[in-house]
Amino acid sequence: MKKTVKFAFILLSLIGVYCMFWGCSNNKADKQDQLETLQGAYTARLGVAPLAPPSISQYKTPQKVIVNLLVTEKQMQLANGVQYTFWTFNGTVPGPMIRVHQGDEVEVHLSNSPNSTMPHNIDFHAATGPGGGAEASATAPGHTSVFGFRALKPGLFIYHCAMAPVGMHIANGMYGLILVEPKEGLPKVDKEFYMVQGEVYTDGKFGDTGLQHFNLQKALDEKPDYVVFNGSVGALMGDNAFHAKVGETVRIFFGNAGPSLTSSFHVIGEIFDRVYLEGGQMINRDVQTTLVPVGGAVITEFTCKVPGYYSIVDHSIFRAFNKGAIGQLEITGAENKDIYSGKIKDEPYIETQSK
Amino acid sequence: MKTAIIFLTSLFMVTALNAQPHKKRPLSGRPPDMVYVPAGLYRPFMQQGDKSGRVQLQAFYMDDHAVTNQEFLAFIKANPKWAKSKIPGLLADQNYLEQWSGDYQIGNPAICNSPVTNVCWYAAAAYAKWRGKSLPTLDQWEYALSFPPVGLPKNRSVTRYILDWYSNPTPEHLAAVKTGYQNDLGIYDLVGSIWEWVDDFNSVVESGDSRSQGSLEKSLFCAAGSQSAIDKSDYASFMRFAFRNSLKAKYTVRNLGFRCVKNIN
Ligand SMILES: [Cu+2]
Repeated sequence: MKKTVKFAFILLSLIGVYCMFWGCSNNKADKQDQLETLQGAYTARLGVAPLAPPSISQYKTPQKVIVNLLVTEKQMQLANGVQYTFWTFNGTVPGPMIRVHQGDEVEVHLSNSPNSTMPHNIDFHAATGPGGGAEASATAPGHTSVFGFRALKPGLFIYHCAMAPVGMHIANGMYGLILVEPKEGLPKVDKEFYMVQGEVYTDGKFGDTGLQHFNLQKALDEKPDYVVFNGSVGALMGDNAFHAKVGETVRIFFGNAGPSLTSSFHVIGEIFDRVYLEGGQMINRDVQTTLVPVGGAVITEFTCKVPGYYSIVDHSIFRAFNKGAIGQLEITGAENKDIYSGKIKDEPYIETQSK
Repeated sequence: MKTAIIFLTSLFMVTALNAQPHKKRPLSGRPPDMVYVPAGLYRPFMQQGDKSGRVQLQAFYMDDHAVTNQEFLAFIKANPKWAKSKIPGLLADQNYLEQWSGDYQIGNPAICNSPVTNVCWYAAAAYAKWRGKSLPTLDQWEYALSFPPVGLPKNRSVTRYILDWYSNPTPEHLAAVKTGYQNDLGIYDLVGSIWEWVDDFNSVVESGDSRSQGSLEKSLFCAAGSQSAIDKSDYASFMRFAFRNSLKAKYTVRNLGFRCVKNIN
């Protein structure tokens, strides 16, 4: 008994010493946060959903990356025959995907169209500073604000408008993703896609045609009639589906703008090889469904093995089939019956007698 | 629905408060095109005033319509230093009166009777002074808006009306004044057509410096909460406060105009 106590004591002290060292090395890491000097500047190539922007291949040192965003308020299709006045970054929902590297300085030029009714701003979850830039970027119609932030941490981050009333600006379409790649970059894959989930609160029910207005009460109740990927019902269906070939690796940059509902992100018929949990540095493997909080994102990767149509859904399944949170991936190529046989037989079922 | 109830309740309260004895509407001395706004208590959107959150306002006159391009042209003709080509960059940004074809020409008959927009705060204040008036304070403006609307369908609150206004695209030409929203005092278009300057739109006017870090500003941004707002579901008010807060006195905006008030001694 005494021996056990002694052993436990030694073990505990060892853990203590280890923790001290770990703490030390962690402090060192923090000190290494000292910013590297920027070498050069370039204007970011932005990705228009569902395409992610390419990574810059010759990345060596942190640079200044200029990001130009123009806010416009415009009517767009929410579903077949349904119009809605979206508030947008660069005229699309979601806004463009931005791709920088850890250590880069992001210089944002946020313009608000003279035709806008509202002031707008932008809050980058990738930024460290008050409001993620919201205060610095508040912009009246017909003006441009410039502010900058250092991309200190790698990961996939949401950005969104944070002008009061925030929920309305988000529900109206003002959001997108910024990827801060680690210095060494993300591993190469064959295909990269960009999608963001968002809710739209309309006066009419799902499918009621015509111009729909924002419904404040449904928003306060957190009961949207539309939960959509990339701004409209069907934005990733049919002709707009993602495409990949058997044997290719696919990476999906997925964000959840909300403003209210947590997403259970799932690709029906696939298992994610890797999931960068919450868009951060922890990788989980062999995942069926990953939870994406509002104002959060995730990177998922998988390998295409069997051809066919795969549905991409929020597995809160009524949202997928009744509110629009569904997209498609079409995989083409040779069948692989060893992995998936397809239907082999269909025959009458005969009840065995149990009398 | 809840919002509507809250809103109607607050309307009722204001109305009830107004029903308290106040100076009778003076029959003479009312300037033309102005409306008598009786003294009363009002509950500001942002917490201030006494413990009840109410502010006492004296009676005043308010323009029954926003200043039009035509009216503003008369001011420019009498005060050429405010003309497009003459106004210093310090006082107005480059879109000042961009809808006009020249210093002393509107150039578009369709907008003569529409509210003048793309005017900076300085020019608006100068116009008011020239007319022997002033810009309304934020409290005066919001108090005027708190009077009940005329002719809105019963199930359509003012908040609702405003939200719908925002979700329609800005028209190419603004409608003529006195064709839209009207309240029971006879004041037109406080909402539904343009935003309007108020005298104390934010603290930048006083400091002339960079954006203030006041509680108002904090309450308008994400994560800072909105604790000072009394009715947190009054999105229309949030939007007006956010809009005002995004302005500087030299800014001009395509959907921002103004009207004047005259205080009664
Ligand atoms: Cu916005």
